[in-house]
Amino acid sequence: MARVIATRLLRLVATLLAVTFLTFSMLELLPGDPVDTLLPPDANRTEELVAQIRAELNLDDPFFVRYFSWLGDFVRGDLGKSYITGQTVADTIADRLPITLQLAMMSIGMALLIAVPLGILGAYKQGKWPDTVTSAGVQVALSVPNFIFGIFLIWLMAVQLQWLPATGWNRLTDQGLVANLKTSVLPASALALSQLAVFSRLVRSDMIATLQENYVLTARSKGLPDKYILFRHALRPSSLSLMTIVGINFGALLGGTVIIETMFAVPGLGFRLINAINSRDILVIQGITVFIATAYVVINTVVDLLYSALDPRIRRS
Amino acid sequence: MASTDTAPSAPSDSSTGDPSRHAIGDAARPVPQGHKPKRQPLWKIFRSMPIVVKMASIWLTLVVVGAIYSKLDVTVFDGALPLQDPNLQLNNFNPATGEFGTVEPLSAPSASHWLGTDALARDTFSRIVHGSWVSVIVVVVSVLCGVVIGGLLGSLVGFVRKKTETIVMAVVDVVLAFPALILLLALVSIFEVRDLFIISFVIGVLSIPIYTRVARANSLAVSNREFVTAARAIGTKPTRILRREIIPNVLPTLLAYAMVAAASVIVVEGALSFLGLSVQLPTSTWGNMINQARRDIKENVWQVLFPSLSLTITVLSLNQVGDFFQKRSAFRGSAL
Amino acid sequence: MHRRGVKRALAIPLLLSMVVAACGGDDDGDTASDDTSVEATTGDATDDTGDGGDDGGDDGGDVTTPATVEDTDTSIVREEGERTYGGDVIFGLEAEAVGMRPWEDACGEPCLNIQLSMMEQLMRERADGSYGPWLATDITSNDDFTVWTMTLRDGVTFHNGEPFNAQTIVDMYPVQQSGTSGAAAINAAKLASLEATGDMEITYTLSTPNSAFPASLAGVLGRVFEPKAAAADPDGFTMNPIGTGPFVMDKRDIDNETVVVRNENYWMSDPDGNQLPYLDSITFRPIPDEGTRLDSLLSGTVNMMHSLRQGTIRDARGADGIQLYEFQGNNTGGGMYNTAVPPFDDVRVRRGLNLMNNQEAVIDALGGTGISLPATQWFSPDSPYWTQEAADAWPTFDFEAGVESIQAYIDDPARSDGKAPGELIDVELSCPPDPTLIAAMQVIEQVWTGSGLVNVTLTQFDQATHISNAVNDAHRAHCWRWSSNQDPSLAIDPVVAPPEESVSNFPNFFNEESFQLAQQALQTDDVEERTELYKEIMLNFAEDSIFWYSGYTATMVAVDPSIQGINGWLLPDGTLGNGFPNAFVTFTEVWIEQ
Repeated sequence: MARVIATRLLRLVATLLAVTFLTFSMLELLPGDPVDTLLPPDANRTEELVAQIRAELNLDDPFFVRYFSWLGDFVRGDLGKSYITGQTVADTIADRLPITLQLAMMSIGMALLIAVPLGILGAYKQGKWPDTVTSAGVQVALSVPNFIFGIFLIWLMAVQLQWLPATGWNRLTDQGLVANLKTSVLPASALALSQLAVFSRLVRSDMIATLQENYVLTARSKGLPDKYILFRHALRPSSLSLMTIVGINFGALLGGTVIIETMFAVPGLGFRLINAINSRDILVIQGITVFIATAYVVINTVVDLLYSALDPRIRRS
Repeated sequence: MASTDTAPSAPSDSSTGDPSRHAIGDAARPVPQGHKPKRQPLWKIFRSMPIVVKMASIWLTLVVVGAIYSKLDVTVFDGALPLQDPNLQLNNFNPATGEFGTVEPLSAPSASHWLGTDALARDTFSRIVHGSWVSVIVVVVSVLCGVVIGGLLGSLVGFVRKKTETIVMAVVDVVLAFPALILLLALVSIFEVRDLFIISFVIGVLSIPIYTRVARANSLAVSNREFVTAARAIGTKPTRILRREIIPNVLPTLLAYAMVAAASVIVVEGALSFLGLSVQLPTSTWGNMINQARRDIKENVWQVLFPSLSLTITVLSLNQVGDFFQKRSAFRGSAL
Repeated sequence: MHRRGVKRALAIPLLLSMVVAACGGDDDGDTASDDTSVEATTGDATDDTGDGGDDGGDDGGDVTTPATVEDTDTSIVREEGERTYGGDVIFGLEAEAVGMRPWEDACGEPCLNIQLSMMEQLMRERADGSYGPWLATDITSNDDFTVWTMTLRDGVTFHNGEPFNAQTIVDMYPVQQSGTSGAAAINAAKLASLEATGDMEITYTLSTPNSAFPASLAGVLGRVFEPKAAAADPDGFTMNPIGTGPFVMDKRDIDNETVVVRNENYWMSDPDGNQLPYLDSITFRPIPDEGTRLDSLLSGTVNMMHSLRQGTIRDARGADGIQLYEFQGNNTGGGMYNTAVPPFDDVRVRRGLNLMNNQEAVIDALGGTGISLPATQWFSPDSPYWTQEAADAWPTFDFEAGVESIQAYIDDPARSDGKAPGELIDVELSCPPDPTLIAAMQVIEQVWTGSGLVNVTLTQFDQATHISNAVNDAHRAHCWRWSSNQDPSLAIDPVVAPPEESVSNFPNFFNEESFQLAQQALQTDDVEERTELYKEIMLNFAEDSIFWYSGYTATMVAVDPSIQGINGWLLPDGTLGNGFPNAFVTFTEVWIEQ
């Protein structure tokens, strides 16, 4: 086990180095002077400002020296400062991250709540009509892009029924849970749809496999109630792979909320990223990209380690 | 797969109930175990399909044919084939007739314009058919990248193991670590890449790792089969084993997987288009058609509906057909 | 060359700040134009990323139908009704405005709404187009308009308790000089120096005559911020701006909401003696998506929104239960030809292309039929400077005449592009990659190509590259925006100045007469006389055909019907203000009906 952890961590470090290096190189690969790219077109380009930027970014140093000093800054939480908004990139991320995190967690939670019972139902009634109906529904849910579902949700829940606000965000810390839920339910639902489909398919296929395992068949032959078998014996192994995919999805969602956040005017990481892209705020693009990529890598490693720790088969080997 | 707009890496998860990107799950993957997979004629396979899968494959065929047809129409026949010019504004001056058109923009479906017209009075049916070219290219290029590079790499390391495997899989992990949509957004926005083939290629490169993992898992399993160990024992050259035994057995699963992966690739391109960050206008793509028509959704809902349906049905079909082939290769494997 | 370099250093920030503007909506609206700058901007009326080529719908194919603006009441009147205190406005803006430093950050429409709820102008524009004092009480000039003396309002204090007086203006000046927007505004106003000539009196000395100087005081130059706070923490000012205005910053959550609350010590009262403002608070929310912004209003998520998109205005007109305030601005979409490059050096080509520009079809493609009028000059019919004569002189769509004009050039053995007679002319048409602009560009392209005489290539570059192409003379037929709702001199002067002296003369065309007329207009403050002078310039523009136009900018503020007082607010001297130009709302007298 210690060996598994050690190799995993070693790999993590190597991956992080590569990821940061690639993101850092993006700015390098751009043609022209980086200062031209960094400053907004209407900036008052005084000699001092240019000199200051060159100094701040160590632009006169060789490439690798710059990379490592940038990496050092990144480790210390310093990703530079946007020359357009004047905010530091770290502050920007710290400000937006909770919102995107909440959206990601809510959507995963909502998806799990619906997906697990659906998946169990499908496995239990495999081949019968409840399975057919849910499978078909899941297929459709999987195929509807979330931006299309988002348009539909706003039209239905906000404009037609007027149950929920169409856009905006009430921060949990400022306005309390109820106000926060009002603004978060719609975007989270839009994100939940496709995950719901993924999760329920996973649960269903895993359950079908485990239901045929010997120990389940033994339990059945003992005459244990179906409910007991489904939840005690069959769901457990599935929960491992479910955990893995939830972890992966979570990492992916950090960068995957861009469209939904823009559509619902939710001021999360993705919204900021699109704004930065539109104003070519390179340092913010770079900072958010490297942050999300790092989070993604770390989360995946943690999930892997957890998986190894929890799955007896792996632990033994 | 994760949220629809994330990564081409995602689909494996949805398709196989097992997150294939995690090495641990690999052993459980169904693997074709036969020595030489038997080839079945296409029509036989088609006949064995459930009705839904049949419809799905017909739709996919239509999409591909439409894409090729529309491209031929523009490049070879110079618009002579019976399909309207997707970029001709039918309410504006028409160079062909020398007159101004009278077709109304945002018109509902009619006999002359099967799916109506968009805000510039362009024929929506034609734009959807032409838009399929973009989807098809993105899929073909990225799948080619994935199957050829990822498949070869995966088959190789699954067979050779040792240091090669460690190094290749470490590199694969790095690429896999990038959130694909974020990277694409960064590329398209910073470098202003608007070329269809380059975008497709980038999506393809980003999906290599996942193909590598799928191929490796299968290659691992195949390498342990009797016919491979036997071949090794009698001193067959490793390259020959790889070529004759491993790859032919890995390929069917990989292709089945590619179908499902293609679905999410299409969604990624759709998302890029939707953000206005894909290929240059006026080239129509389903994503940018949805985006453009969205403004007029209160005037004419059809123009959003049709490209959305095309996108959704195509994704649905790819999933169906992919699932079918995946099950089939697994079934055949266990039957042998 | 060197001289031009210096000019350029001054002019480019100015230009860029405004150009990005109208294409607005990009991110931090602070990349947008401000009212001091020459509002020559790229893009079309209401463009922004994400807007599809929407369409007005009906008479697209019918070329002969004259486009008219539907009968919407755009006159400015003071609303009747009893003013009541209290209530909160939630205002959905098209973009976030991050920068709140008037001396530094360019400020587009979303930004102006936020900034001017907290900061005030020395002068404001009246409904009749003249300028009246706001934080000033009076302004007079010497005979040749080179020295201006202004008196300031007594008893005004900043939100932080600092008094407002002549020293304030003096202290503001170095801060303005150091900032991007401030320096550009000083340059445009031709201001050389200022000094306090009394506790409440400022004397401005200009480098050249400028009869329109008060207009500059209604823009960035005259936007009063608390100079001590600004000097102490320039960057912090963005999060906590301090002015004298009717509302005070309460909370800034960038990209989410900016909340301003009633200034209990505001100096101004309504004609009945009630202290202003009436509202308790305003919450500004950036909602970049045009569709969901309107949905937000219709669902009650916000109770006020604005839009600079014709397509959105059309949709809002079709919606129930909201009140629209529409405005037809001077800002004109279209483009220009770089006359330094053949074949655009020949007026026959430019005129021919203009004759083949089907303005109504272009507006239709933008979704603006019945919303935006085809432009014929740099003033909308609502402007006092609009003239029928100039409107008649502008070449309207005439396909045959266009073909004839270009044919004449093509058949000319001495044609300037060096091609053999009979060969097609090459036109490279370039716009930023905005879906609405692309739509407009395609409409033009189809007609030009349709003539059989023009070989059109379409190119798209991002906003910044598009602008730098114009600055570096790498442009051919180039999308651009013209004019503003400010004094005409601010928009026209840089464009008619000799190209070697003015970077902003992007068409690189010099008409001595236009240049002289513009100079004369700065030496008189007689509106009729100036109208006549600018009319002559417009006639020259039509004759020289250096620009093409699409439509005027239509903008809209849409509100819940209970919100009143957007239209007819008053200046301190009791005259009627200029309403809601370009969807910028003055909140002093806005109230919510109980």
